[in-house]
Amino acid sequence: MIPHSNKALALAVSALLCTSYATAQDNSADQRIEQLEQQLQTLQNQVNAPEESRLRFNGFLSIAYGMASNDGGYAGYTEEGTFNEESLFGLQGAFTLTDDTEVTMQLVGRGSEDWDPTIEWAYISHQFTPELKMRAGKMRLPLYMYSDSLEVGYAQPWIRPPEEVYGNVPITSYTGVDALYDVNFDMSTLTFQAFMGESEETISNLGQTLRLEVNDLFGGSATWTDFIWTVRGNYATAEITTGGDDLQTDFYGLGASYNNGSLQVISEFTRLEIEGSTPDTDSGYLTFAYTFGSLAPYFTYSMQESTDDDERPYSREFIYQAITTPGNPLYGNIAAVALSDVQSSERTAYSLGLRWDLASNVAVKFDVTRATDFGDTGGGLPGNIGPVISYDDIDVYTIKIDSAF
Amino acid sequence: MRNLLLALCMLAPFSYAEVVVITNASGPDAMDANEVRDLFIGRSKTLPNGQPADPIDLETGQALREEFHSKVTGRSQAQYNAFWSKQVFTGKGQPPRTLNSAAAVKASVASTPGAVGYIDSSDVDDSVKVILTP
Repeated sequence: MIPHSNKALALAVSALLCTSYATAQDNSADQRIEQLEQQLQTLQNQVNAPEESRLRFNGFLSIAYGMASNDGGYAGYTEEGTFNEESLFGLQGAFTLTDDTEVTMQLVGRGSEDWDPTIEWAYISHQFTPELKMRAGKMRLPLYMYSDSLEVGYAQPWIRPPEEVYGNVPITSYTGVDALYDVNFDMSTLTFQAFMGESEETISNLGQTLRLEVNDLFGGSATWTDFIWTVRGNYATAEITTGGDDLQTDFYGLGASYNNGSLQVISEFTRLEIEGSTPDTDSGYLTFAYTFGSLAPYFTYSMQESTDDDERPYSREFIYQAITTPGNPLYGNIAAVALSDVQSSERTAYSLGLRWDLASNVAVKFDVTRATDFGDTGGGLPGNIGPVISYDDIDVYTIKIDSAF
Repeated sequence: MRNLLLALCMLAPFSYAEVVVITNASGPDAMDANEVRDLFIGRSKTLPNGQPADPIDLETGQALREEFHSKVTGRSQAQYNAFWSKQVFTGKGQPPRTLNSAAAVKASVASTPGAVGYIDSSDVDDSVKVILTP
């Protein structure tokens, strides 16, 4: 009995020892694991912490090659193919000053301007409340739905925003202030934007280089979007001058887009009204694009028409005759061409294109655009500003690589 | 019977594998697809429980990323990238940060309050909380 119980005791003791030893070992192992886990977590937090670096750089690059069926100059293209017309690079730096304040600068260098970089955006922004943001500096003139990302080809379905609509206003940026106010609904956001400022840019009109001043610029827009549908309406007003009279100018825009992930439909209509003989223009476009995997073919119908042809009563033949005839009161006065129907326009364009996303953040685009139906006008083509209308239509072929990084 | 069970066991990981949206253990218990979408398009910056959101995407080119976006943001990879490049170059924000594997996403979500990511349902364990099966 005793030996037995001794044996049992020994067993019990050894079992107890073993257990407590095992427990001790478990405890220390648990602690060790806990320590390691904590260390790992700290490391992970360091590695995974969102990059709160104060300076961020982003860039975009577009390389385009295009040519046209004649020398009409649609979108800058002529019979002689060129890489320079629509190739460009952009570099953007955003510097975070505080959680709510940021300075953003974007440089764009264009092939058509010898790649000399110019500042397109340079502003300071402050988020006053989650709904209200204000910005001051140089910004894009927000006349169109794609104004803000005008030159970021990668962000657009087309090879270029429809020329009939986007080509009517030579000024693309202004210096001033704006306010953006978001009204958030359950599933959508309504954003109001109001801006004021001025602008001064060298433009080319009727073959002449002019300094265009835009003063007393005020405008606003309302954009509603639920990420699938977007609807936008906007208005802007300004006094513009190229050295002579100040011309009262008004701009109205209406746009809508739909994107369900496969089908994209985009449409905009704009009305530009300028005092005097400078053309008033109505324009619009409708784009359909469909995404099949990495391929997204698109079709665009677009049109533009000058609506104040009665303010330019003289025929181009008459005016050119007058300015080239010695003794005529208009002799040598090239600017008088502005009073002739040279500036009147009527044009319809059809674009068929393809966006091919061949790699992450790189898209290759192909586009054929036919501009036609000029009526009695030169269709607004730079190649048609002479005494006679040389081109009744034009086809433009373009291939482009768009990248963002 | 045994063969059938075996076959089911083999099949199970494939037939049940689907993308699930996860948060840190301290995150909300559930979110709907629109709330998750709004985080990934930068429209919302907080979780329903008030935590600052830290959405995490997989790097481009991974099947799981495509599945997530086709179900939640409704955009192809190309369109989603294009959307973000528009936001970036108009000063409206930066895309969610990206990690190169679902394992890295899970580890990061497990250790980062406010993090929202997505992994394959077969990889779910106690370290993270599933808030949506889109």
